[in-house]
Amino acid sequence: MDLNTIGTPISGSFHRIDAQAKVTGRAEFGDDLILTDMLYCKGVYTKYAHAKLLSVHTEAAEKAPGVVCVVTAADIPGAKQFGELYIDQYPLVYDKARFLGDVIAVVAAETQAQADAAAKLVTAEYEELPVLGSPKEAINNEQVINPDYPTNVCGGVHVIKGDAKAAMETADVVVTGHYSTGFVEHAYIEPESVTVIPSRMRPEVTVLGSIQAPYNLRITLHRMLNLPMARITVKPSIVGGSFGGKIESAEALAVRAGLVALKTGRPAKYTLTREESIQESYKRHPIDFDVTLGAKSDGTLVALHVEALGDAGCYINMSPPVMYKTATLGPGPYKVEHVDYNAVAVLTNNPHTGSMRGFGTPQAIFALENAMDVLAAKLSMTPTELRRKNLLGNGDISPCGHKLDFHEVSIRSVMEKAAEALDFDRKYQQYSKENQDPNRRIRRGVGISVSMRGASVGADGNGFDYSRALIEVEEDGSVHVNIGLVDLGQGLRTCQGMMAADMMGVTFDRITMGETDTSRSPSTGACIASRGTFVGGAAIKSACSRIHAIIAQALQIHYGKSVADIRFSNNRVTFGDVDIPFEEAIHICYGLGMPPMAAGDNRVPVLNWDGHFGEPFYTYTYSCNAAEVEVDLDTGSVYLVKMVGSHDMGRAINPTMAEGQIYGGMAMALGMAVMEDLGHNPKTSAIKNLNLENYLLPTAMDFGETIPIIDAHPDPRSASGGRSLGEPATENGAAAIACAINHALGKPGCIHQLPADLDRVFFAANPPAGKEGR
Amino acid sequence: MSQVQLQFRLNGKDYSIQADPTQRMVDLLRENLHLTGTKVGCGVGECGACTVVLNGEAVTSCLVLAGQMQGADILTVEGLSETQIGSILQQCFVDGDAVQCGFCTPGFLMSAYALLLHNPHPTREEIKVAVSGNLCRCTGYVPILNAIEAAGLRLAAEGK
Amino acid sequence: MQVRTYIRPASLADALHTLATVEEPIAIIAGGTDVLVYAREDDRYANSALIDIYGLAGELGQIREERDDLIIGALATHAAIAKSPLVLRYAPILADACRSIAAPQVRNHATIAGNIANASPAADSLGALAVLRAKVGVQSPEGQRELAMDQIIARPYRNNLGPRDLITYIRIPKLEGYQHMFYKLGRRRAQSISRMTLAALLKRDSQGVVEDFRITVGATFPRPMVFPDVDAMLIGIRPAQADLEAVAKALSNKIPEIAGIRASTAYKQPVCEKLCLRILNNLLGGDQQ
Repeated sequence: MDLNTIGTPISGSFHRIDAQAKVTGRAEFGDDLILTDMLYCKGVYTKYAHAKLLSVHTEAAEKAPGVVCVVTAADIPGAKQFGELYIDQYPLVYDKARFLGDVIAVVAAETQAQADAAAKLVTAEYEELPVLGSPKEAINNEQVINPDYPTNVCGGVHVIKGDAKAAMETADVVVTGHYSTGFVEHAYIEPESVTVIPSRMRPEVTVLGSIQAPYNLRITLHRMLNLPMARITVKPSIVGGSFGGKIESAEALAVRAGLVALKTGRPAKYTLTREESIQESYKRHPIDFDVTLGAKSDGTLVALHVEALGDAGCYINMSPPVMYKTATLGPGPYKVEHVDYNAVAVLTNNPHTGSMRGFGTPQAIFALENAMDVLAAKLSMTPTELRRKNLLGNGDISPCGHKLDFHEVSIRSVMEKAAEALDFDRKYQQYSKENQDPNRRIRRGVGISVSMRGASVGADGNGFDYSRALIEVEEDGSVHVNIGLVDLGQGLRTCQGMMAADMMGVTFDRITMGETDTSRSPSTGACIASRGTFVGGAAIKSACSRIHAIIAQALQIHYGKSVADIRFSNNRVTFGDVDIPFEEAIHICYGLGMPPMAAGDNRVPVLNWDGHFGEPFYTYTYSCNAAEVEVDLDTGSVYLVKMVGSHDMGRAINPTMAEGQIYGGMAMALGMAVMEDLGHNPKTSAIKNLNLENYLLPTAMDFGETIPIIDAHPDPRSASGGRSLGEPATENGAAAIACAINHALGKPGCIHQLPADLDRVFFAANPPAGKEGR
Repeated sequence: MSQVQLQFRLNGKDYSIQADPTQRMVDLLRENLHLTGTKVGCGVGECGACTVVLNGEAVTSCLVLAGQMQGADILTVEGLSETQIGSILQQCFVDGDAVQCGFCTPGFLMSAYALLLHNPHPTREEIKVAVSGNLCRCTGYVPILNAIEAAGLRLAAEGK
Repeated sequence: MQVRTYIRPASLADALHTLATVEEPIAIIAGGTDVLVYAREDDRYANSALIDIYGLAGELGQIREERDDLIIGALATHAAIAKSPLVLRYAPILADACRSIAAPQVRNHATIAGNIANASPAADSLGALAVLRAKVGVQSPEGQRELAMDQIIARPYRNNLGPRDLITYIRIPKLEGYQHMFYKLGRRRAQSISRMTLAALLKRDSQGVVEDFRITVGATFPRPMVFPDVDAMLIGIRPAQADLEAVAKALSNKIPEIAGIRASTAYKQPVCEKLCLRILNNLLGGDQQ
């Protein structure tokens, strides 16, 4: 594709199109919807994490003031389960409860307070089953969570390149390490809220609320409520943050509220409290890693072997594709000839785990980059020296076997820019020296991490990787763009509008971005996997090209001359000696009965991937984070002094918004690195930290300076030149912070478990007697 | 709980309404008055999404009893545009891309409003303290801090 | 929230009358930042008369001097205390503690009496009040009395107040010529529930001899503690490093002695010792304020 055919280069810091509504309180989020005859829902949670449900008693609740109905799984007319890839999730417990977030009944009442009060009156009988609270316990246990997976292993991916075992024997230095991460909550500030409105005319529903994946939600309702998909309209409200988290979570609410709506004929709203949201929503996978990394004495990597064990929780959810990204992107942006990376997910009775910004890579990068620092120390190299030695360049083969000869492999430049902005090399030397003084109790350290991120879904779900957009040019020359990829707060609509303006050849003010509405925007897959800009842009481009063809045909008829050299730019249409305003061209189209409207589509090309080796993704974003921390050895307290996020996202469509993604990604990484902890109990599978006073997110006080760097090289494989940024922005940040803590402590790899909270850092700095060096 | 007569000033207008005094202020605003700009994110005063200005001070309206609105002067995000500080803040949030998903935005604006009301030229550190009770998961805070700083400068330029 | 009745007294006298006469179980709400959190957990107030005293701030929210004492009205908010010129002058450690509590929005609404009555072991103001030897003024239909900090709180989340008792003020002896340090250790830098706090007051004469020393640890014991035996270790001497180390050791040894050996002791005891030593070094190395 010739980038020069895309009008003016897309770039500009336009304000996001919904900002004004959001600063005035007018933007309507899910729970802001108030309808006159609306019912309010409340779920009743299972008492046990793993138990057969023998009976549910709803009679007392049904008689409570204001209660209109109580629904249970018995009320579901269709399938009892849903899921995106694996149909195994129960929005209402049918046979047995699988985790403490399972719901056994839903009460609907005239007010929320009445529903809340009545929900307490629902009782049930259970037969308790043993609780499997960790993957290690669950694997091959005689207790089986899901009979289709008798070993409780529910998926995995094994990347194999060369012969890692044999090659490891030839390495001069081999390091090993065990690393593990915990559950991480998406912690969107808006708890989930979904409203289902039944049609007064026929069996049909409209669904609004905090919905990341409207088309998937439609399939779920179709299966479970027995409605034709064409009679399910999904119109996501303004979404108050998602980060991958409002897919299945919203679907479960839609099913429950949908049952109420269909049973009563009244709109039903279902809003979770924060505690309920943390109790039942899915999380980031905790993953345990055993890493073996071998190198020559000059630092050249020889072989990488990783065994990764992920906790899928009670439902498979996205575990197999998450393990796919762990295994295919976990080896990092390094030249390493022999790779054996085996990632496996196991069912337990824990909160289920699914898509969350990063999707299996933040954990893997944390493990690998720790191992890289351990290796560097063994080789007496600095972290940057070892990485410089091994980073991929143009034409190199990726760790999974992908020949990178189709775009600028910019990871070296991306890393150097981050290192320079942090003054990494100088600080590394300075702090290494200063930290040798045992009286220095508050120490500084620096850490650096690198990654390559597959843009879009990748080879394990190639079929999902399509997108469509519907564009209609109105008679006055204004352009209506409908695209089903939802704006989750990242500013996707604004970017799409800018791309549409550029590709159509009109100014941004001519563009109206429709809100996603499944009855108007064609099905386009979900806004996941950092694909919104990448594949959305391609669909918009396709639609614009088709509209240009319609206009060209009309103008050819109208003027009766060749339009071979037709160009659309800056609200004007030119060909031959004709130069007319865009709206005049549109007027001509309408006059000829040829109103320009087109659906554009795009599908990511089929990738060459054999399940273990090949091309796991179509293209990649390259990223580096460099972090500087201050560690108090006497308390274990960590403060992020400075952090740099450097990224090559192909092209920053809107640089200011791209920086916003990077700032936010760094803060999210900080949370994962040092403070976010569910307080999960592996014996009972219970979550202790159910609200934000205990599940701690970083505040504005928790870091010093964060610096975004955009090092963009337009990608020939992208219609807009842009790739993806949402996930890269956060995926390797926790690794950089952990590496920086280790540097401050003078012990590479010593923070081997996240979060690096007070206790972990304190005991790493002050090992209990006899446990030095673990 | 039975209803009582509550009188208060809200966004520059006098109200006298029948309401349950033991409900939360945020529920009175959202459910009784349909002022849904004030958000509920946690219900325990941690996230700050429900922040309003009560008698000149920022408070989390999920932890204020509706009965305590009696006689009070209250400002919510819906009334912000009518104030000089508020409209400058709103513009600076838009200009500085301090808004992403926008759910935390009203709360940040109200905390920032209370800050600038008492301290029109805050330092960066004072800004951080003022919004330390507001959580944002999208922006990484920097654009928000920048926007509030810019609003302070604009206020100074406008001779406030 | 679910309650039986809601009463909003018009004056302190009215409140006392209400307390004396109301028949239902009594729940008093001031700022409400704890009560409203509990109310979402369960229906514990469903049968109670909720007495909302927040409107009495005019009567009960003042901060004033009374001869050698500072009198802080029960309804003074944490924000008001943190910026009160009188507190900053005579009890600055309390200002520091109040400034570190929760978030600005909560500090603006939550009251000092509510913080005491709630009796959370992690409440930041309690340690500062303990080293200040604060007394809590309590009024009930039977009359008025004053309780010391270690008397008013029984155990975590249980105060020693009767159902018809009302905290009306906190009396703090004015201190001058003291150095102070309030240190809060949390899992993040703002609105953090304390993992541990240390509050220390030190007064030395011109020769560097310690005239008075008081130290305590918060968020660690079931109730606010004072340690006269530890305090005495420095009084009357010009402390050498070994003395400071001995104090740090003695203070941190209180943790297993009083709270017992718990999972957290392995962390808290050594951290307490290290922080205590650091604070003492800071106080003795620094200038008197």
